[in-house]
Amino acid sequence: MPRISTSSVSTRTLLKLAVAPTKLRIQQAHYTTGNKNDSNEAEAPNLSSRKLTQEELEFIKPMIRVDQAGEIGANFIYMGQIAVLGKDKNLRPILQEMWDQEKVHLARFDELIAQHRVRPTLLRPLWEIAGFAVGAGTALMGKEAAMACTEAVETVIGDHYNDQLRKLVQLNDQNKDLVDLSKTVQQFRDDELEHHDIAVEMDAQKAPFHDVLSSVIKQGCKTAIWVAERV
Amino acid sequence: LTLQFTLFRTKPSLHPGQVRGALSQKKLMEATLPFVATHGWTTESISLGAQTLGYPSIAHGIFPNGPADLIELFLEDSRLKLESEMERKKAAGELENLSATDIVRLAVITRLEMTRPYIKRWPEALSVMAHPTNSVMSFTQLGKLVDDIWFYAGDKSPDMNWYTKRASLAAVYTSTELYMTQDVSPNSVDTLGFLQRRLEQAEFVGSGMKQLGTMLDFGARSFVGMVASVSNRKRMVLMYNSRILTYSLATSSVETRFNKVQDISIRHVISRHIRHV
Repeated sequence: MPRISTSSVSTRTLLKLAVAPTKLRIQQAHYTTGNKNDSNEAEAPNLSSRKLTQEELEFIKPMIRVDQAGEIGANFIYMGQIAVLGKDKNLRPILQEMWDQEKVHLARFDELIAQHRVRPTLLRPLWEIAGFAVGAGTALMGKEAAMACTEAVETVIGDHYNDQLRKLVQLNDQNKDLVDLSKTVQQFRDDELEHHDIAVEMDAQKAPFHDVLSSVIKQGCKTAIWVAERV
Repeated sequence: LTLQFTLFRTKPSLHPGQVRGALSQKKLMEATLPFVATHGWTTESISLGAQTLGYPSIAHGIFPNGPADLIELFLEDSRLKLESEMERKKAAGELENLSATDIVRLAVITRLEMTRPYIKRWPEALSVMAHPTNSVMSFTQLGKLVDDIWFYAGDKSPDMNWYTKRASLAAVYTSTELYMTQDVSPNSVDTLGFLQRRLEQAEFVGSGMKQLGTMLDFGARSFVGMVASVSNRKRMVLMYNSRILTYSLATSSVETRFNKVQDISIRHVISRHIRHV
């Protein structure tokens, strides 16, 4: 079966790589990811350990809140998908691996919430149930629909993390905490784009009502992001 | 595009270090507090305090909202004093071997000690704080206080427990303070007993929230089971409706939807959206 979609996928992925700062491009001294064996202290010896100012905290607290809410949603989406499609022997390991990565992401944001004394999102049960419903619902429409859901969600999350990175980079006088946060967001952005690529590889474009499904899910995610930043 | 909302308060926000003209609000508050026991939390006390500093009695205008501002500054100042006291204890290692509840008790007692000199007139202050125009201020101050206490007690909850813990502690603190207003025992020892009983009773990690979690879990599972058991045609219709339901859950009025999810079972909500084909 001719895989016409593959070439358009790689173009799209290349576009994403072009517009977003990634590990392939030259980094500022602060933001190094990729090779985890690099000693970051040697590259950025001037990183101050000063405490964050009140303004900076007010700036990053909604970011951490919405990121944690997003990871909760993603966790429950994968949980819903596995609940329905778990019996498929080819699909299960892939879904399981993506879910495990999301669990790691959530644990990291839980840490950041404790560290910066951020109020977690009040609507957590809502994100849990909505995530599970979307995951299970699309999985019931079939494997391609589930992959289309993943593709849509990961696209929105990737854009969202890029927006956050752009905002964080603009802050003057970076200290250790801000750099840590930027690195975390950068790493997770790369992970989410990887999930997006996996979903497209698994025939997401072939889902029934792909465009409608995709745009509904994207709009839902964007609204949820807006709400979670505030509530 | 993220919109940043700023709440514009019609009254100026206070900070203990804020200087207005030649007299700082903190200084005026400190001069006023000795008069509170005799003259209460009133403009009269503020005037008397201003006079002891050598300012005319009209200087009470430094607090535009009168007693409410005085009380807000007093609460903020006490909270900052509690913070520095807990920091000192932490640095000295006094909090090392204490359990979370013990640290909470220690912090609550430390904070109540700051109110104790004025406790006979405290009910006046409580009624001022209960006034609708001041309710935001008193709620915010209480919120900051319990958040600080839990921080020093080592709370790291990233989920709904964050809210249940703070709500429970707020209830414990306010009830103990209220008890203290009518406590006539020497050194308010009865209040300590009252606090101990409240702390033993308080469910900081709420079972209420656990029940909600179980209900959501059950609801989600039964939804999947229910859908898996209908025919293909019905399934497409159900998917269409459930997508609308999920979409509406995420985008419509958040408060009402959340209340709905809490109050009625999910199976009931979903069954109302299933169209019989």
